[in-house]
Amino acid sequence: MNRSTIAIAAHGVDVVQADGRVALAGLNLTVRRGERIALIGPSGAGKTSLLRLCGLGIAPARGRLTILDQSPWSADARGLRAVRRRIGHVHQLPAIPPRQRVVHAVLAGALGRWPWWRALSSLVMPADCEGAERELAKLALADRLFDRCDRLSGGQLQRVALARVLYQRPDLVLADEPVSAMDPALADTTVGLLVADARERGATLVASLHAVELALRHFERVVGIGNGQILFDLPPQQIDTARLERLYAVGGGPGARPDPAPAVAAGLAGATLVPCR
Amino acid sequence: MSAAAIAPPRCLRCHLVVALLVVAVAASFLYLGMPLGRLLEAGAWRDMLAFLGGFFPPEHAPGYLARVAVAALETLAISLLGTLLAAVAGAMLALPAAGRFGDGGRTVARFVLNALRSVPELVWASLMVLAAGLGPFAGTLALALHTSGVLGRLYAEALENAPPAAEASLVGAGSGAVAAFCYGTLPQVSAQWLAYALYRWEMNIRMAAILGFVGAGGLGAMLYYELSLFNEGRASTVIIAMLLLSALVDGVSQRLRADRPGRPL
Repeated sequence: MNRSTIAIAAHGVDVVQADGRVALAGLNLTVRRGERIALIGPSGAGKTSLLRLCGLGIAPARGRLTILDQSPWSADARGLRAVRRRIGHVHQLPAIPPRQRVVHAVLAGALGRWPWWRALSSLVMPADCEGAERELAKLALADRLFDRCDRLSGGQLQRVALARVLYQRPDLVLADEPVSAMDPALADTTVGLLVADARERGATLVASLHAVELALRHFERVVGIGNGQILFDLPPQQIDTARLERLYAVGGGPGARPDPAPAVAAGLAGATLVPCR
Repeated sequence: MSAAAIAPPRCLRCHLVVALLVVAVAASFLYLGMPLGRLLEAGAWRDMLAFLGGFFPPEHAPGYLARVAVAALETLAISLLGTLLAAVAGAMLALPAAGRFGDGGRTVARFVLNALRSVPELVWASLMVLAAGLGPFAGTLALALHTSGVLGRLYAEALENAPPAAEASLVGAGSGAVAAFCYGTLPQVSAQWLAYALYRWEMNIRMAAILGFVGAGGLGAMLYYELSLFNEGRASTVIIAMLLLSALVDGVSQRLRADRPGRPL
């Protein structure tokens, strides 16, 4: 396997939504292998679109995109799948069937490497209860191993989705608001865990966060996105309140959803509290 | 805006549909010449009571009861196997019918489902008796064929209504198609699929009881035989067995469906 040092390389990439709205315009972004990046910016600015672009959920309308040393959109189905199994997703709303048991939801992280017969037999007799429990224990959810997912709270469900990605052990982790349903203390430890996991495994992590103080505290590189463009790309020490105010004043552009004001306010307030070392 | 300003829109089509229905009902009465008035005559009630009286007492000789029990078991087996085969075939047809193998597969699968469903069980049974010979095998096939059409369509609708995000997320992480379906979509439809199958089983136990009229075995064959010979007492026993069997299956099925909250039926 080619072990080059670049995980994501985008040159002049446009992303156009299905409804014709331009979500990202002229994007240039290079992420080295093992880097841990936070995306911040107002709702509708393009954070989710950028994560979907990197996660091969949407093809670029223009420009060149390389993910994990592959040009996935010019590969055949087998090649595309080979790249995808190295990418872990955490969605804004956990995409887990409500009636599924937690153990299956976590073990589903291995579906990319399991043959189909192992996947099916695991539905009858879970193939690796210990493995699933180990990942859940990191998130203080080990006692919910055999619960149904619709018995969990929103924050617990988000942690199950995170446990799935931990179990998958992907080279590239893409997390879209992974802690949005958790209280501040839990959100902090959970983001810390995600970052520590990526650091230990040398995996690349890109996470969008509404809570700016989490981005500034845990990540080595913070990318501000507004109006479908990268407005700044800096280490957290160089990001001050004025810059954040400008970022959130840009807004999400004409197609943006109205932003939940408290989240922004909390983010800004938190940012002033964090000492910019 | 005041509340008084909001009024439901007038529905001309609704009025037209109701008027058409009234006309159709009136025309049907005239066309069939229903002699409803004769139900009110004294002689009619006497004749009816005499006819019903012929069914009492039901035959209860132990030997006959044993034969009825065997036939009831046969009917139960026909309904159970017929429904199970239909659930499997329905699931197989629902996948293409929900558009998972392209528009061509969808069109073909929907056509097959429509054809299976629009032929009634009794017609299937008559055909299967010709094809497979008299007996329970023909009845089982007949139930399976018709119910496949019904369940396949319901299963396909459940599949189309299931949110696609869970399966898409697994495919996005490199999962194969079969595994992604079984982990992403199947858990969202399985309870509904099971409830539909149980509901059809309740209907099929009643249908299995009368399929025997065209030679497809079970209680129906016995009922047809006794009625042909005007053995009303024996026929009465068979009818009671049908009622008991039907009540038993209804109870079991409803119990099973009630254990699953969020069920659709």
